[in-house]
Amino acid sequence: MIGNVLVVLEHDAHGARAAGLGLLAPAARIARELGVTASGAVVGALAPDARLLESPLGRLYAAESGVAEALAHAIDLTVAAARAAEAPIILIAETTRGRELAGGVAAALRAGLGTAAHALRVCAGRLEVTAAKLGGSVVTTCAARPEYPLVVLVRPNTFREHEAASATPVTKLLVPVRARDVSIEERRESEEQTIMLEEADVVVSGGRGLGGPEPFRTWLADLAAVCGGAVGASRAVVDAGWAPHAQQVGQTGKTVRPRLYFAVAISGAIQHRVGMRMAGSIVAINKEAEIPLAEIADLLVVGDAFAVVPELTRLIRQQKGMP
Amino acid sequence: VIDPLKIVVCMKPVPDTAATPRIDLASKRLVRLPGETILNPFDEFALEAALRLRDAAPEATVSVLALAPGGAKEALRKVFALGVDAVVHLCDEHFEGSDGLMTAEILAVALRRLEPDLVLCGTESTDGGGGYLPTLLAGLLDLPAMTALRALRIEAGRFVGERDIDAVFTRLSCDPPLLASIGKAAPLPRYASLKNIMAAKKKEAQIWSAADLGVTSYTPATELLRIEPPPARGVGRVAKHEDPTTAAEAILAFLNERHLV
Repeated sequence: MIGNVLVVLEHDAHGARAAGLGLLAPAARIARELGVTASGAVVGALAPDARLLESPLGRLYAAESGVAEALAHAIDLTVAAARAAEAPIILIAETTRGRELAGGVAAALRAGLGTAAHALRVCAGRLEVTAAKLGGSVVTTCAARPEYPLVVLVRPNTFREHEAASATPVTKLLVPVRARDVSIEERRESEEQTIMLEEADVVVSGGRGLGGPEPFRTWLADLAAVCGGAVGASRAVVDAGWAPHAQQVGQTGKTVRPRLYFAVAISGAIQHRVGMRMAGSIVAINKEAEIPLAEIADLLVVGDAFAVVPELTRLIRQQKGMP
Repeated sequence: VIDPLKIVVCMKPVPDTAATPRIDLASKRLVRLPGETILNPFDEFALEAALRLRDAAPEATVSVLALAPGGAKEALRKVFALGVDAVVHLCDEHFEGSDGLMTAEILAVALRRLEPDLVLCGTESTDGGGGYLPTLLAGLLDLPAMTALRALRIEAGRFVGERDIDAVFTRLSCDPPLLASIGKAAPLPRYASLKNIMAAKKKEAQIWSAADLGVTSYTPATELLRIEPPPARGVGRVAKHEDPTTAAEAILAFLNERHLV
């Protein structure tokens, strides 16, 4: 199906989320290679983040009214934008909300789905989606059959490309109210702006070897802070109640793809590795050398994490000239 | 008031992550061996949520629906031991090679036939990992959806769900019928009782074929072009340092070499 490209731009209380912003340049590049246009759908808020008003996209679509926090509203706005933009290719960052949106949009458009994409290539006039599947044990490349639209879920933090930006006009769309829907009875948003694990450039994860919850709040968090990153945890840590589930990396937690992943006192069972093996660089700090993580770590430092990590934080702070 | 409540839990048999998957290069399909098939761990949270609703309303029924090859039979039988009332196994050669949309379309046909008040799903699966299926199914069935819930209960005949994801807490409500996905923050799945394990041995899943469902003409929306082994990661370095400062300096040198600081 020949047509335009639409990228979904998820918003929260702090504006457009980083995961969606990272798709602006790839969307523009794919559109250029296909000889079509790229536009954006603003979901989760009625007004687009000001940073989007100058972008590589040709146009933004945003809702005229409605409850922007509702899932159905986000789905319906995206579908309306895809129709208005005549876009059968829809790129969505693979966040929790992104995944939920993808299903709803694919149902409405009867679209095929590509997930966990880490490479998007235009080949002979169609988009090829490459993704690691089955816990990273195989890499698959798929494309939509000619008569089908395609919704692509893209791993956050994957693309580091740039496209020229220019003023981007906003078109308001009417999102009809559904006859029957879920009502939001109560909604509380944490005031604090935290870096989402799946969007973080640097992830500092701790394992059972840390012996308790304390390091997650103190020296592990300090290393994450000086790197501008987020703290992650192994399943054992979450099961022990030392860290919240939102911080779990691995098969039953989050899949992350940061530029840099620190595995501190984590031996690296397969269930953990599937959640982080796509990281750019992996540094393991462990008191043992014979650990499964050694198979994929770029650097394994055998030593006492309780002493090494605070020292590393001090050295990075010093190098960056931070107080 | 919903009486008696009819719950269907969608569960996906998946390859055991601990086992190394084999791909048949000719058909580009996964070779599944029965012993290596488990039920998607995420879906167990959905089943637990269903069983809890039935604990509160004993006249409710809990059925499990799965689309899977015949090799998943043993994995599916295990849910009887948890006290599930019925298992519907959608099993047919026509279903092989289904992609996300085709899988959801087939499940939707079966769900329309089962007419549940509540459809429950896990939030994602350990094999595909797409996480889109719950809302895809809801869209195809034209059902409202609550997603990634940590709790689900019935209050005055209405479903009430709680979601706490990405620093946002929401309390949601909806009349039946509803589709809900249950997240990992929900209560952990229970263990089978000995009584149920014994009783489960006598129970059999109902097998529904493509002809039974009238879905022999569906085709996938996507095509798999290539399937390859993952690129190998270069062999890493191992450094052993007694002195923490020397160790930290070794890490910083590595980070600087890769321009990561």
